[in-house]
Amino acid sequence: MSNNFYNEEESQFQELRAVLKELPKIKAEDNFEYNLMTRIHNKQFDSKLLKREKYSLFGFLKPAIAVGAAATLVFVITQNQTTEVENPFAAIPEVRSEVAENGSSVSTPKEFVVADNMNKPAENYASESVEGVIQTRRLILQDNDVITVAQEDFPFPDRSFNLDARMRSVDATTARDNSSRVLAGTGDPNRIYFEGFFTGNQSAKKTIDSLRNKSFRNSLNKKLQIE
Amino acid sequence: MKKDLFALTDEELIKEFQDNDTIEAYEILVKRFKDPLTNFVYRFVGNKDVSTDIVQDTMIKFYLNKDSYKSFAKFSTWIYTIAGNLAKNELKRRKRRTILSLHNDDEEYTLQIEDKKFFAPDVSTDSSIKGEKIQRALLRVKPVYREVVLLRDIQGFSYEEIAEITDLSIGTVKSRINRGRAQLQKLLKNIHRE
Repeated sequence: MSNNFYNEEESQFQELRAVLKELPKIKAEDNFEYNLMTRIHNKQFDSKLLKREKYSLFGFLKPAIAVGAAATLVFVITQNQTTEVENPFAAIPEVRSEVAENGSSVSTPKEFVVADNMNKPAENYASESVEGVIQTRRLILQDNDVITVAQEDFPFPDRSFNLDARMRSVDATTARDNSSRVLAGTGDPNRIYFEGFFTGNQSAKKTIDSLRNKSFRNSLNKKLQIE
Repeated sequence: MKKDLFALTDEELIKEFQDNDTIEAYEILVKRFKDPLTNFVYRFVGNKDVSTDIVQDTMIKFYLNKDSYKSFAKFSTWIYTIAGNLAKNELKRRKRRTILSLHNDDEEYTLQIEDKKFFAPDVSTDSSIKGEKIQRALLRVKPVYREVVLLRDIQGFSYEEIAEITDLSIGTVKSRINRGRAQLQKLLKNIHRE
């Protein structure tokens, strides 16, 4: 009964069973017995499979170690390189005293050269310039806003030109005094650059108004003539 | 004396080994079972080196635990039980490694099937290719089904012996064999399509 039952089951997979039967028989290695008897003789009874397991565990840890090392390397590199760009509009400006302290070693004090005879009358001024004995004061503005005064001879008396005095002598109608800036000498990098001419006194208001009225009347007449 | 040992059955040999600690009896049993066990374990785990180690460990266990064999059982079922358990443990370990590791070990093991030296020299190339395909299909069958199919269709054990080896009821063995065969047949059809 049981044999018949088995035969029915087996007949369903007859082809498959035949295929499996045809599979080549795997044989043990030639030195199998020698290795086995050597292990027994040496009493090496520990499992080779467990040794393989230990080795594999180390192999399993290898990628983790590699990833950890790479992450550490990236972290170290990115820590030393800050790619943040400071927004100049968002930055809090430094206090003046701090700037003076920090930049004291680098910054150079600004120097302003002022003519010693700036308040003298024009004729004297010119005569002195001809003689080439103009005394100048060097005003040195330090970073901490302290102004020091140093008196010295004008560095290039022969090469310089007293424009103020010249203008006074040529055009007497334009009143100019020495409150405007004086043309500085050339060649000294600490000297301030020439920034142009400035009027010293305001013109009389009446004169300006009369000139305006006059020009207005002239333009009106011209228009009428055209029409 | 040695001639007489060769004439003994498996059970008589182990009895001799148990009673008199005769190492020759042990060696004869090793000689008798090393090839069928290697064939079974190799088909089960699909790796030459691992199967050799498993059979070596099986023989070591047999040497160390000879007294645990009881004379009412067949020696072959006893030794196959040891080998089967070791093979199943190895598969579990490998599965655990595959889950934990980034590298898939199964792929490496499958490639070892193509080692032609491991087959008998008279095996032709065509049959070895066919054998590789069947082996690949076998390795894709669930281990619980694979074990019983191998024991039945390759090793030629009876249902009763398989039930004894696997410690299962005959009904369970029968159903597992059927399911295993059905799975294998399906896989082999797919392989032939490829």
